[in-house]
Amino acid sequence: MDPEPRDEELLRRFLVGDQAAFADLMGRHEDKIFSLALRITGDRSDALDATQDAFISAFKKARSFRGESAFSTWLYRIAVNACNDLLRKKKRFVLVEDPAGEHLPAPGTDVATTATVRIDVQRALAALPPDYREAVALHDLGGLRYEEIAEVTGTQLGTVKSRISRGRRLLAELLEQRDDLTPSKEVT
Amino acid sequence: MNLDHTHVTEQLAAYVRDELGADQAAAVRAHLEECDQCRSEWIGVRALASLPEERLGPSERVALRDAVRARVQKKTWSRRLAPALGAVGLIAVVVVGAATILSNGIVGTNGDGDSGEAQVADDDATEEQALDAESAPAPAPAGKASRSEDKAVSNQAATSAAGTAAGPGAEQADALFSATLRYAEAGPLRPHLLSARDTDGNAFESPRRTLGRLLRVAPNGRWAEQITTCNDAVTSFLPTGARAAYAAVYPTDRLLVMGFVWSEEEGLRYAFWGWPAGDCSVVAPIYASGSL
Repeated sequence: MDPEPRDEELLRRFLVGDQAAFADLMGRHEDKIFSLALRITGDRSDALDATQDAFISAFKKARSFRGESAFSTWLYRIAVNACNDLLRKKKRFVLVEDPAGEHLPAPGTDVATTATVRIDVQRALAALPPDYREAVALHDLGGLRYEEIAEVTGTQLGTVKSRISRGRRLLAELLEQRDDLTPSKEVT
Repeated sequence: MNLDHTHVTEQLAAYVRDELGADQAAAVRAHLEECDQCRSEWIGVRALASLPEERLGPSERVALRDAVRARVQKKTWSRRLAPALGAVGLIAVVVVGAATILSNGIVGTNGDGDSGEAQVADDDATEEQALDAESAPAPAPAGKASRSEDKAVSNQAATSAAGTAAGPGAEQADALFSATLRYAEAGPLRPHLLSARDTDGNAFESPRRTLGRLLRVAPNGRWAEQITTCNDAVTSFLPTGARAAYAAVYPTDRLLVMGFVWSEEEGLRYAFWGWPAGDCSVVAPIYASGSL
């Protein structure tokens, strides 16, 4: 007997009611999924929720898992979706430019300190457009290959490449210009 | 070895993990030296790689598995890992109450000196309550707000919105928040229009409405993410066990944050306001419990 059954085998056992298989599958993947969720959401409690949602969703959809990609790849995809859903539901307040310009600081004000929008790596990641964030998270955090990402997201390989490339550059930009989300650009 | 953008892009993840052979690594390094685009990507890759691997805590792991098992094996409601629903219920109460207080409190404080402003605030009060009516189970009737009865109105709103779920401390929370707002109103800076939007694209146009919408929960005593501008500083002074924190953000020449922290055990703990500057270090409590 194989001492370390493959994920796919554990999933099959889970589907016929094997409690141990459930625990094994969770044990193998929960930290990685949680870590990924924490990176995407930037909040521990959100990450716990997303991890929970992802596993629930994965186990409920287990019967539709065709084994075309690795179980972990499939699970990553579900987890990224769970994170995106969660972020979409949450109301994240973002300061934006005042269209009328009435409430902008007077010219000459030190807008760099007005900015105060502190974006660290996690926040920057969370600020990426969902498509970019998904691709970057799956590749740079989840370690999935471009081909795998294309497969699980149903996207063209070229699109995946471009999203990863642009996502990383956008991330770098956000990190370099931490006042990016403030009205400061209007003033300076 | 010459590499183009595409190749380098594809190798950066391996490069940052030190998984490339010496030749390839040298080629990537050489390309990064001369290519702005790839160097920019590299900054992103390196930033991501700098994040440590996270693990679930022991109790989080147990709670996660329990919750997943409950949902997967029986189709029943599971416990969420996030904070107790009771706290959320109470928060809804205080949000309604505080919004009412805000609308009326502003008028009560400034009505003698600025009748035009008072009229505006009164209009907003009706609108605010109408907005709240969408989400609150049973909000106070909009027309019943009375300028001279701030407290009564807020209590009415709180009581009718959540019945017996209010629990101890809610009334005190209302009073403190109201006082905090008055303090701010009387201060050197009046709340400005908050130009903000949330991720659904809703825009906020008036301080009254904005305040009602910006009252947020800090589950598990942590600051809610909405006050993104001073996350760390505020978190650092929240007492352990704090159950809720609220704040309004007013972008003035600096961003004004104010709010209060409520904990089940201690009732009202802090109200605070401040102008976060840079790292937000100036956000500080201005009231401690009982000092009003």
